[in-house]
Amino acid sequence: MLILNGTQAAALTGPTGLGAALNPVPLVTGDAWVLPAAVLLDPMHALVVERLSALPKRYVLHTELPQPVNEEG
Amino acid sequence: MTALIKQTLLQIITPSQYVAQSEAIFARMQSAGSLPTAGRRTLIDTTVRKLIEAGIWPLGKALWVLRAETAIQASVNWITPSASLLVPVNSPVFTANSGYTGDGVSAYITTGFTPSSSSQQAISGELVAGSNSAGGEISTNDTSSIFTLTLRNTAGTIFGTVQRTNGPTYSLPGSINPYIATVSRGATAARTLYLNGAIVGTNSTGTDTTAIAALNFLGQPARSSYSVNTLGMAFITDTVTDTQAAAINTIFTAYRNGV
Repeated sequence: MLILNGTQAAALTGPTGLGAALNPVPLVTGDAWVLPAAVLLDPMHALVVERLSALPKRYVLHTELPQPVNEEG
Repeated sequence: MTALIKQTLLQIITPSQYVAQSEAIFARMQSAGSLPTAGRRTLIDTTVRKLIEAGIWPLGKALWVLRAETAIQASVNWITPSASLLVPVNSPVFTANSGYTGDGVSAYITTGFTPSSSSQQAISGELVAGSNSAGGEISTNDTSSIFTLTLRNTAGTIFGTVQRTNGPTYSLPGSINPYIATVSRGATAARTLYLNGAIVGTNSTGTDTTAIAALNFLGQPARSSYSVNTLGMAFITDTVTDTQAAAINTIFTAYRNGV
């Protein structure tokens, strides 16, 4: 996944100009945000692809992501 | 010049082959950049006519058919074509004639549609189940644990409710895929869950709530909840009868078979 700091996450949150949007997800540690690598290949994010390409990438463990609130019945 | 005049006159005096509701859909798709092919226009028009004939169209609040030729076509609300288009967030995967698929981590779609606070509503959706999914396929992006309007498939169990906690559930046989599910609530607290037009569950327990957030597909970031399933259609209506729920299944199954 793409790794963002708080400033980068804030700057890239919202519409990207071609009808799509980005919304980085905070890791549970609270000091980093992530985006799926798929956004790099999505032509709807072409206007920000240079900024996305500059972000570091690494494998993110499932346990690093916020766990869903899941209750129903 | 004569040929041009003839063609113009022909366009003026020849009534459209499509109903007005379909023409509005096509106009919106075209202005957004993707007019459906002639064959798809006929299929859409047939679907709209069937919804009108079944008395379901007037109940409609919002309808998105994600099983479309293009992502642009999928993003148009058939009931109110002038409404804002769907916005894919974090790149959910669009597959032509199948729909949108979530990644289970962060991808979802915003609709720009906020349902009414009425308790007498119904949600129908065509879902293609993936693997174990915790996310809501069609859900208001509620921040609390109370679901107000949701239809989802969690680990093979359909759950749906309208303006009330809890809700009817049904464990899907693995052989049923894709499927069309509907959850409807009428004048009482009872919510009825339909699978492919047949009743599979009811529930009257829980607590009423009128809190409503905007409707999302495939994910509720407010709950860190995302789906890995595929959504082919989402339809918000007033309360539907058993007959109308069956008709919704029949009509959208015919659409699916026609793409």
